[in-house]
Amino acid sequence: MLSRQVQYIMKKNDIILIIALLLVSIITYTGIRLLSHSGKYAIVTINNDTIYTLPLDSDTSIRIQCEDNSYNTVVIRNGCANITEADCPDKICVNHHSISDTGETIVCLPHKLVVRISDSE
Amino acid sequence: MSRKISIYSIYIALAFIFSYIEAMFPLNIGIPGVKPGFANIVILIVIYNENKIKDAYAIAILRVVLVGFTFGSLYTLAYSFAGTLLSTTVMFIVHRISLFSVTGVSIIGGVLHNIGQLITAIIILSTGGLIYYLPVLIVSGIAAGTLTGIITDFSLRNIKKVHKQ
Repeated sequence: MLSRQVQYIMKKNDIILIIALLLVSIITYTGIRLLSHSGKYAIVTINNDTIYTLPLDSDTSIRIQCEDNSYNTVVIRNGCANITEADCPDKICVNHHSISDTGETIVCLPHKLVVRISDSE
Repeated sequence: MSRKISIYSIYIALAFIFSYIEAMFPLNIGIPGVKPGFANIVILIVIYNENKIKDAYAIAILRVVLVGFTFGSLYTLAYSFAGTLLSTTVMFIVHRISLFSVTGVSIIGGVLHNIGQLITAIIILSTGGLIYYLPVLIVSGIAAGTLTGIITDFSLRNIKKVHKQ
């Protein structure tokens, strides 16, 4: 039984869509890279309240604990900021690579904790 | 009516199982929101098979709520809710205007789901800098959308075959 109808998994519009989306991401990426540079401070906020402003040139390790016993350990080493330990369920923040350029962030969504690199305090 | 109940149950169960499996084997590459999104296969099948926005929303929202309460906190529920709402709405519109193939619709759904989650995170955390994740989320949305789209395409063809018998 021959089927005369050939069905493709992708149409021309799909290729255009993919190319357009890739262009958007390349342009965004280039823009962000061009505008960023090595930062000076790692600003740690929980729930949008700044709790630490850590200069990137001094190595330090801070265990940040909240009332409900949730913690994240923020480490500054070699001019980079990183989260090395946390008791959140997904551990995305711990697996994230260390950051050092302005605008880069490490976010722990369950703890609403954000480590952000900035030029200023 | 009973057909509706039984087929709704199958859809929701399938969507939930896909999410469950994804939660069991997380791809830990350290960027939030990067995942295959197999549950989208079910949403797409609902969109193409039932052709009613109400059904699509129902399955999508029920999945998000079930998965949110089983695996996450209130906030993860908010993120996936926003992502699913945006993704399902646009997927349905695009399906109706017949511009893309199933794979294309799936890519749109995947990318928009990620963008919806990103925008929600930016709002909740008041950190505009999170836009820095946009390129990765677009690319992973394309990859995941392509994979789930192809799977859905073949699934739909087989569903049609079964209906014809």
